[in-house]
Amino acid sequence: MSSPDAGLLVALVGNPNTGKSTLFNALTGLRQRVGNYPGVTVSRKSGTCDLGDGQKVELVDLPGLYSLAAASPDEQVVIDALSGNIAGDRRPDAVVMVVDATNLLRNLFLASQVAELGLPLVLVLNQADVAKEQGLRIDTELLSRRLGGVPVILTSAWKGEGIPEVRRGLAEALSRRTPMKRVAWPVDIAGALADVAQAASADTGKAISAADAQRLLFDTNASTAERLGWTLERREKPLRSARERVRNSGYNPMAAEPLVHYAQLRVALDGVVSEGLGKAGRTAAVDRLLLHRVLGPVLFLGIMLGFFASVFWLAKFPMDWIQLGVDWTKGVVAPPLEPYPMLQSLVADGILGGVGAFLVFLPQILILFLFIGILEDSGYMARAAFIMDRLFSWCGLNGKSFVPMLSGFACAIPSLLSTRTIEDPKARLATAFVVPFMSCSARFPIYALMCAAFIGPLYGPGWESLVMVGMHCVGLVFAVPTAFVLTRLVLKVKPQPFVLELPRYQMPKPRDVVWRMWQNAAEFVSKAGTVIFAITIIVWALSYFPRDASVAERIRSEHPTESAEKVKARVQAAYVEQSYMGRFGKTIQPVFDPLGFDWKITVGVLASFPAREVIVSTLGVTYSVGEGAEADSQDLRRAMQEAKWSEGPRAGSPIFSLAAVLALMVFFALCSQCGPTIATLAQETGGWKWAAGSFVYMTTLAWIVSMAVYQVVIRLT
Amino acid sequence: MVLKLIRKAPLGDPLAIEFCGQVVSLRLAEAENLIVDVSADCPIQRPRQP
Ligand SMILES: Nc1nc2c(ncn2[C@@H]2O[C@H](COP(=O)(O)OP(=O)(O)OP(=O)(O)O)[C@@H](O)[C@H]2O)c(=O)[nH]1
Ligand SMILES: [Mg+2]
Repeated sequence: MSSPDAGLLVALVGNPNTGKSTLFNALTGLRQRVGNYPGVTVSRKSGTCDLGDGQKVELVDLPGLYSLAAASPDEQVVIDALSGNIAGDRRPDAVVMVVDATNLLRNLFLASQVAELGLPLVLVLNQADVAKEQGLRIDTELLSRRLGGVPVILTSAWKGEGIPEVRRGLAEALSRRTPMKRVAWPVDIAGALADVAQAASADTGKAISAADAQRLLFDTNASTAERLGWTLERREKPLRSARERVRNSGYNPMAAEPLVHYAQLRVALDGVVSEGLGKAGRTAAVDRLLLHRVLGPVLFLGIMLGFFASVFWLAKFPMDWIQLGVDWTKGVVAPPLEPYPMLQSLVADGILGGVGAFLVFLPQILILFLFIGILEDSGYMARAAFIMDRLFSWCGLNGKSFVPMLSGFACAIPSLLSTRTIEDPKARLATAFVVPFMSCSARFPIYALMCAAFIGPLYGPGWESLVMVGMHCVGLVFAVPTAFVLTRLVLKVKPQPFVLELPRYQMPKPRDVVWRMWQNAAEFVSKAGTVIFAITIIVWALSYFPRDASVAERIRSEHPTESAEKVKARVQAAYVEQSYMGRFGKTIQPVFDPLGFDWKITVGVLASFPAREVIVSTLGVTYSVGEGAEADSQDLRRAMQEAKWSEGPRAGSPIFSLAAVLALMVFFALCSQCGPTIATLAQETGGWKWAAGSFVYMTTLAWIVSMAVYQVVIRLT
Repeated sequence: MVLKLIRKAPLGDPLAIEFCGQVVSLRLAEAENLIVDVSADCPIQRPRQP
């Protein structure tokens, strides 16, 4: 969605977590993801914003940043967008600067840096509701005058307050083209900046803007110099002497920029904010509890355990309803299809059996996303990163790796994208490499199926939830040493700084949390309707054909005394066994034999490489087809509970022994079975090398660990 | 500007430091490298060293 090429372009810029995306959504009517964690937006998103007077502009939502001295790739996105540096993109015509109204001084530092770009600017003081609650009163007119007449608007983007004023302010800024007042540099710094601009211009033949000159002089990273094509050997000497000049005037060149900006901002803010009576924030009190030395980690573990237990128990009822619905549908649809056995099997076993088996897990996935949304929106997520930083730093990562890893429990793809907030490229790579180990929601169905069919009935509900939690930890247990080896020995990551803002706590906003849950659910369902559906049909067809009528006749003549029911089941089983899928599964089965997988599970495992949740629907197809095509009691669980080895040394014993059940779950916990994850990993790490490495490593590891589990447990039980 | 050490993480590191009404997580090793603007009108409390 973007306006015509000739339209005006406006960028939303501000510190992380100030409400840029919330404002973007309010201005464009779109639904970008928001969350109470610094670093939710990691790439640019655009939409059309109506200015209220019929004029439309293209608005871009950008990641948050604290300073124009960019370090991480998400911050670089902003720098590039502001300089029009992205291929095919223009420099914005104006900037909407979003600042946290409760924290003007620190937020205005970035505004003051952006002012150096000379673009028309609107200053939005967001979260006015919180400021009001804290008893802060802000004189926007005074501030506007102090900042050179730029429109200053108080908003509460989340409540939709002040949005028309922002539209008007933007129209005004675009027509009057008022830039924000620039900082007045002390003479020697101004001189040093002029020296740098002159030297760079002479070497590169380009005109050097004031903003670029500042980046060249003040930043230790070389991104601006590289963009301008100013080589290291050419820039080294002039930069050194310019920094020397700054130092001689009494400023540390690395600190001069913030010092000068802050000094002048303090003057500009004098008398702008008056503090009245207000409620002190609850954040400090809550933190005393949640970040307590002893209670903190205990509560952390408690929250995580409670989370998995509740996902499991709350979802039980809706899951049963969905199962009933699927069974009922089969009962209605299958009998009329009796004259057409192939069609009947396609509908009952293929479509309803496969897709139904998958859809049953929708409630659990909804609750999972609900919970992650609540954690994030409440502000706890950043605290979790704080608590975990020490552990992470031990394996060469930092607390910022925690959020990608935790959200990896929902889905690896957004988590891989969120690694962009990590500054150090090697640490980012290591984090991205271990994110797929996190037990994503697509693994949930197989754990849940196995637990409900075997662990629960055999050992009781206590063990059922414990195994469930345990399975979610398996990936983590292997991720830690993997990260350790990767960061210490392979990549040799240098210890990196960890600075993370801990946002204030807030009541999770049902609208945002539910919206996110809804979006994820919609994605899940649409996947069920497309990818899973397609794979299900293919698996069904491969296990239905070829269908040689002589097979049925042979079995009937071999078992003349058996009841018609029993013979029918034998015939179905024989058909599956001699189908393409059966033959293929049997050929490959020896590879998985040490893991205790029969050929049907092998088929499931192979079909799950593009998307691991396919295992459930594949088992649904292979086991229900083998069980006889009557539409009643097509319960996959029962079919699996009754499945026995038909040949070999294990003949007669159940296929799904405890050892095989655990081995199967562990295999799915560790194996790399997700096409989109591999593709995203390749995209985020800049090539197929790491993606391929991840695939080979995870799959091999899964086989070895799963084999060990099977071999050990089978001997103990 | 006031820099206040609010608490340490359960494992002793990082630190939660409050300034300008915001809480920022910072590792000990990095807290030592902070450049602090000592203006006359801003009393300053250095983070307590353990
Ligand atoms: N109370 C209150 N909360 C708000 C307001 N605007 C945004 N928020 C909340 O602030 C948090 C951050 O909002 P986002 O819109 O994700 O912030 P952002 O600036 O896009 O953050 P990044 O993308 O991480 O840089 C969310 O929890 C919002 O619900 C507001 O006006 N009042
Ligand atoms: Mg955002």
